[in-house]
Amino acid sequence: MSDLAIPRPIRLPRISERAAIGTVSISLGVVAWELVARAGLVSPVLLSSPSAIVAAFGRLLASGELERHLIVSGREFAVGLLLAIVIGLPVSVLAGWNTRAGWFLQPLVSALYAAPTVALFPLIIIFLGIGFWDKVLLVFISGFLQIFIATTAGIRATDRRWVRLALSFKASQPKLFWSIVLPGAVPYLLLGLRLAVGRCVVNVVVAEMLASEAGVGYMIAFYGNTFKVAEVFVALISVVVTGVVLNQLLLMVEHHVGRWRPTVQ
Amino acid sequence: MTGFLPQRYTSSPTAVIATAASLIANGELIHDTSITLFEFSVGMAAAISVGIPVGLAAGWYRRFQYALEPYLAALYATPSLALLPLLVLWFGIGIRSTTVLVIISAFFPIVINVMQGVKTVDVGLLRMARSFGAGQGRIFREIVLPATVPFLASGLQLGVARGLIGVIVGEMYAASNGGLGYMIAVSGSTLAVDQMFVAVVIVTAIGIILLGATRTFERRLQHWKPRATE
Repeated sequence: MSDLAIPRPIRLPRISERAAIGTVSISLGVVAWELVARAGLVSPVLLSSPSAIVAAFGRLLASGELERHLIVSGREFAVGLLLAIVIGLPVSVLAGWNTRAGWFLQPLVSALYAAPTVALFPLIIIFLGIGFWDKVLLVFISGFLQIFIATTAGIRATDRRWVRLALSFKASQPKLFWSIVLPGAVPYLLLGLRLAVGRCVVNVVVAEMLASEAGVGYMIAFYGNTFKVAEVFVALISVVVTGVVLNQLLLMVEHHVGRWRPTVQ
Repeated sequence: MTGFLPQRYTSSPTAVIATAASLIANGELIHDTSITLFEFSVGMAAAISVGIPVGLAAGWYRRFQYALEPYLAALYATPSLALLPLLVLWFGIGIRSTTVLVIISAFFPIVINVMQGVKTVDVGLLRMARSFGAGQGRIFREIVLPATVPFLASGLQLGVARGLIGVIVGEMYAASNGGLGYMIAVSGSTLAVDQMFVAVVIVTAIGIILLGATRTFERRLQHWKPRATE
């Protein structure tokens, strides 16, 4: 019997079934992992185990090492993203609003967007050296591209009917921009910001893996190279948790702003 | 640009073209490009051939989906590139770890999209098939499978983009025998900027071609989709 049946009217029990099966599945997975590691079926050096990861987490937290690396990565991420927003927003608003500026910038952005941003990292290192600003620049580029693409799309997607309405009432260009185009683009802008945050987290970590002396990505690479798999998992999990938390926060902002939006029929 | 900045930092379009010509002439470029394409296509083929059945099963059997969901969510949220040091530990430096990274990068978008596709099958069509006494197998083949195809296409598009990044970063991080990412990393650390630009341009071109191909594939599939008239 397939489960793809016609939806039943009662929904509550199904949600609990989902949670129950999910919990059982994940706990079975963790237990199996621990047992395989304990039984020595696979070398514990390569596989690690949940208990070893928890222990490593305690150690790294107590020594302050995890916090130190998180702060290094966080600073690179925050400065790069902030620059991407401060510079990216005005530029992309201009490119969306002014058709010629858009035509000028679009091919450049599309070409950069098609290439994996990390591929530019060796060049960035040649220019800026290994340190703080090279990661900031990489984060800036990846954040900028994402914000640019979403924001210009949002501005171009302005409902023509609103524009026509405003023009019939003799709205000036600035008025049109501030009252209709910009508010209409806000959801796109927020989506772009959320996607940018995701990309920037990945890029910080990868850049630190490739060349750095501190940061979560450095932790991952360093402990990987020294066969300390439990520590690698601790660093990995902290990256994932950071990414998920930031994503959820921005999703909440998006929903909050989305509620305000009037709909046109 | 000549004169403003030292030539070794910047290069110029003419220098890049000259370097590209010599790299093609001595066969290096073909060698590296073919390694990258090999890793990419093996990885994508594996991701597709495992991803589609898993996605279909997860969409079709609700309990299987529930059991799989926590893992999918956790691994989908994990930046696959950050798994590289582990993959190098497990599979060694070279073609194997890069290929596995491509598989991991492309697998999750495909599974999640296919699953979504099965779950969003038009309930009206299912009800109709049931009323006419269609069996499970028939429903699956004639309603669910075709309805999933557009979702598969968008999953493929995402998977291709991620897989390409995976192959390049994988080679940049740990490669021993060539590949475009390896070329980028090596020429970056030896200040061979011309050569690096050649590799970056080739990577970009491959990305544009592959994404264009998946987009055409997607459009063609949507073309076919029958439109229900209200």
